[in-house]
Amino acid sequence: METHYRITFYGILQERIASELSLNISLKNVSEMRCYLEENYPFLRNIPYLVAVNKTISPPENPIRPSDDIALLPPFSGG
Amino acid sequence: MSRYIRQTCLAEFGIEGQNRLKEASVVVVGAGGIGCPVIQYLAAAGLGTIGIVDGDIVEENNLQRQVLYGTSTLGANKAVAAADYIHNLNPHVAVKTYSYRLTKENGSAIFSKYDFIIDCTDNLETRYLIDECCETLKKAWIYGAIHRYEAQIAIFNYHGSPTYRHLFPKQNIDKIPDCAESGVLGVLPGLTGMLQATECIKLITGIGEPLVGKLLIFNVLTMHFMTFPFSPDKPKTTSKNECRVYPLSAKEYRDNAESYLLVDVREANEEPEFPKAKRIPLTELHLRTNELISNKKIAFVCRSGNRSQQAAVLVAKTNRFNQLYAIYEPLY
Repeated sequence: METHYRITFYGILQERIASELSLNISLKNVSEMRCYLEENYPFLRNIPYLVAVNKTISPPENPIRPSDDIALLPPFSGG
Repeated sequence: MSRYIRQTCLAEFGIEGQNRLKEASVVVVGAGGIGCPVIQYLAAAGLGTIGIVDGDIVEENNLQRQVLYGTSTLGANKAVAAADYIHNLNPHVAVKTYSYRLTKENGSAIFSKYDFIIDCTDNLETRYLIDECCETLKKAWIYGAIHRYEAQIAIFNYHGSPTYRHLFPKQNIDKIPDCAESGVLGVLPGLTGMLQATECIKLITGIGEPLVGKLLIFNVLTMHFMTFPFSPDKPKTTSKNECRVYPLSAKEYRDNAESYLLVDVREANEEPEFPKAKRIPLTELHLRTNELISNKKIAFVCRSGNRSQQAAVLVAKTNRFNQLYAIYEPLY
């Protein structure tokens, strides 16, 4: 069964991917989300980024559900 | 002292807060767009000692946001020009200037003299350096960084709270653009620095709730401010027992071969070839974990079952993969 996720991107990821992205795919947890995104956007493998699920920075084993609010947060560099 | 009366009359802050500021010392790394307001507000508030590290000189295109400088200081070293500004603003503050770049060699010696470190740099490399020095010296640092119209702020390594590298592991990182490449409205680093100075005053005086274990992100176009909490614990050092590695028999694998990515960790010259296996020798695996990314479960295989277990444990430690299986016997 395919499910629908909405992901918000910050910083450089917004420029390289999009502000928001909808995914129609079935994913179990943060780790699978990372794998899926890194397969489709290989440059992500060279950027350390955080995944926030419902505004909490979440480890790879954290489960995700279609209603969850997902955000990808890379470090910012400027100062 | 009438200079500080507007803050000492705050009940939570009081004379006690002022005394704590007077006794405190802070070093600001980078006296640019973020560093200027940090230095300015901490000096105005009556901090005891401020160190300023910056090897750059003031250029005309800095003046749009680096508010401690003006036309008359063009060409001056920023640490020195900022110190001159502070002497006039508040002569009670002791200022120490380090008119050179922060390096691996000088970092610990500078930081060891201060209570807190404030990151106002414009690159990731220096942030990793600050993080490493602060972890060694067991000192907290206040992170601030910007990208176009957004900023991030957090406090790291405060009484053993997570480090920057815990959130953003140091790896082979693509260049992330700085202000020179992305452009910046002067108010954004200004706001960022003021928020970092606020956090610094809170840490020193013990008032309020500092941004420990939380990453603040704000956007000046939308004026959305969001805090993202993260686990207060440092990542656990994964021991062999804690790894999520499951044993897999040869038969179990063969019955369900389609659901696994089979990774053969024998050396390139070892025979026979296993059908459908991806060959990544154990000795190269740590450099090639990106090749394991797939939607399948990962099964490691070798000749007898020793190296497959080692490989699965090694990959489990990256915390990037789950469903790791080690085939514990000869496959065929």
